[in-house]
Amino acid sequence: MRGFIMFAQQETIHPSIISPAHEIGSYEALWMRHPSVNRVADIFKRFNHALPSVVAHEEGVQLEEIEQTKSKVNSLMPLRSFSALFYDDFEYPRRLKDAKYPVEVLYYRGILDLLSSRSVSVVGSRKASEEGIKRARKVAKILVENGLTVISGLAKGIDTAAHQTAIEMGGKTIAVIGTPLNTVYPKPNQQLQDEIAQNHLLVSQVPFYRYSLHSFQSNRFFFPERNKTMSALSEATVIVEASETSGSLIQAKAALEQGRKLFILKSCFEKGLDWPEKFLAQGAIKLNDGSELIQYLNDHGPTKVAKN
Amino acid sequence: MDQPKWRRTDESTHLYHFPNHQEFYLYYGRIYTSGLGYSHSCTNRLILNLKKSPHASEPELHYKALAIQKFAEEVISLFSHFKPESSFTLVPMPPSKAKSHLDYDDRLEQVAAIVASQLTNVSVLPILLTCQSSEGYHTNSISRNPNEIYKLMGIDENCKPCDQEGKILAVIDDVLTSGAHFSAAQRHLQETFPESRIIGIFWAKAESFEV
Repeated sequence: MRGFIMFAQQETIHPSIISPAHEIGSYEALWMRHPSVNRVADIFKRFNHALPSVVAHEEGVQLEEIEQTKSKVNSLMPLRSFSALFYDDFEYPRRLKDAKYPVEVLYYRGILDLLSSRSVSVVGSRKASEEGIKRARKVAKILVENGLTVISGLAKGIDTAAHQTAIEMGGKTIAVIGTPLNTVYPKPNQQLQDEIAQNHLLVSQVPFYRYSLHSFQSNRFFFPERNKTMSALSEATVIVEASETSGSLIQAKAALEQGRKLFILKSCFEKGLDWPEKFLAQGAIKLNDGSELIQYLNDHGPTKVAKN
Repeated sequence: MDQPKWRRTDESTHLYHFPNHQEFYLYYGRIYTSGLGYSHSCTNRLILNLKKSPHASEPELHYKALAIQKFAEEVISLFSHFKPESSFTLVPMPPSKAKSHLDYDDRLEQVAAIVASQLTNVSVLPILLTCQSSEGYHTNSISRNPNEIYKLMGIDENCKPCDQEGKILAVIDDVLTSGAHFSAAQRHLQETFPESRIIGIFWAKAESFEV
C-alpha cells in the first residue's frame, strides 16, 4: 500500500488530519456500539472531541470494522455524493457548539456557504391548519425579503410551506432533516429535498448505517434531535403553530437553552394551549403578525455568544 | 482551543482532472463554495480577498495581505502534524499571468516565504513558471485541461537547485478544484526531480458533487 508508506513518511502517528471517508467509517462504527445521541456525545466529550478515528481506536474498534462500516455507508449513499463537517475542522459551525450534545459529524449536500448566512427557523405542526400554512408562508416571505435564510425540517405541514415559499421567492433555505441524507420523509417531499440538496443546503446528523438497520419507529428519536440541531444552527426560531405534543416544542426549549431568540405567533396563544404562556414566561417573544420579526432580530443584537 | 484540523483527499474526493489523486497526498484546510455571487462564510471571504488583483485599492490590498498572513499561519499549523525530521520544499503554484505581465500576482510565493521563515525544515523553491499568460483559471474552463496547462507551465532553469534528495516537494496553491493544475505541476516536477516525493497543500478545496 503505497499510500500508507507515504503516510508514515510525512505525518506523525497521531491522526489529527481528517480523511473524511475514514472518519465517517469510524463515526458510524461508534454509533453501532453506542446507539444513542447521549452516549455518543458522552464518549466524544470524554475524549475532548477528538476525531472519530481516535475515539474509535480508544474504544477498541478494529480497523477492519471501520473499513466494513465505511463500505456499508458507501453502498447506502456514495461517499462522493455528500460531505461532512467534523468538530474542530475549519468549517464546523461554531454556533452548533451551543447545543447540549453538539453533533460530532454533520452530513450535508449542497451549498455549504449558506450555513454561515443569517438564518431563522420556521417550524410547526405536521398537521397544520390552512391558516397555519398561510402564516408560515408569510413569515418565510418576510425573512426572504430581508435577505435571511429560512431553515426548517422538511416535515409535512408548516416546514414544507416554509421551504417552498423561500424557494418560490428566490430566497435561500436550509433543511435539517431527521433521516439520513439518502432518505426522504415524508415521501411526497422527494422533489423538494432534491431541489434543496442541489441548489440550497440539506443537512443531517443521522448516521446512515445505524439507521438502515432499524425500523422507522425505532429511528423516530432522531426527529427531536434534529430540532435541537436546527435551533443551534439558527439565529432564532419562529413557532408558527403547534399542539402540546409537537416536536416544535423540543426546538422551543432548545432555543431558549442555547441562548437563541424564540418567537411564537400570536395565534398560538388563542387556542387554549398551555405551552405558549409557559415559553413566554421563560423569555419567548410574542409576534403579532410576523412583520415585527426583523425589527426584533436587528434591535436586540445578534445571537448570544457561545459559552464555550 | 486547538488549531482547526486539516483534511486530505481520499476515496470520498472526486477530482475530475486528477483521478489518481490518492497516490499522492493532497492536503486542504477549508471548503470553498465558488460561483455564487454572494459569500457568507469566512472561507469564501478569505479566498476572495487572497485573489484580489495586485492593482486593487489600498483597503482591498490590506485585506489581501491579511489573507496571505492567515493562509501562511494555517499552513504552519499543518506542518506541526508532520514529522519534524522530514524536510520540505514548498513550490508555489505559478499564477495565471507570467512574471512580465502587469497583473502578475506572487501571493503564493509570499505565503510560502512566510511559512519557510517560521520553520527550519521548510524551504521555498519557486521553480515553476507560467510561460504564457492565460485568463484567470476560474474564468476559463478550457484552461483546466491538464495537458494545456502543462504546456503553459515550465521549469525555471535559473532557479534549479543541485540537490533535492530526500526532500518532499510540496506544491502550494490556494484552491483545489479539478486537480488539473496540480496534475501539470506534478508532471513538471517529477520530470525534473524523478526521485522526489510530491505532495500538494491547498488552503481550500472547492466543493463539487458527482451528479
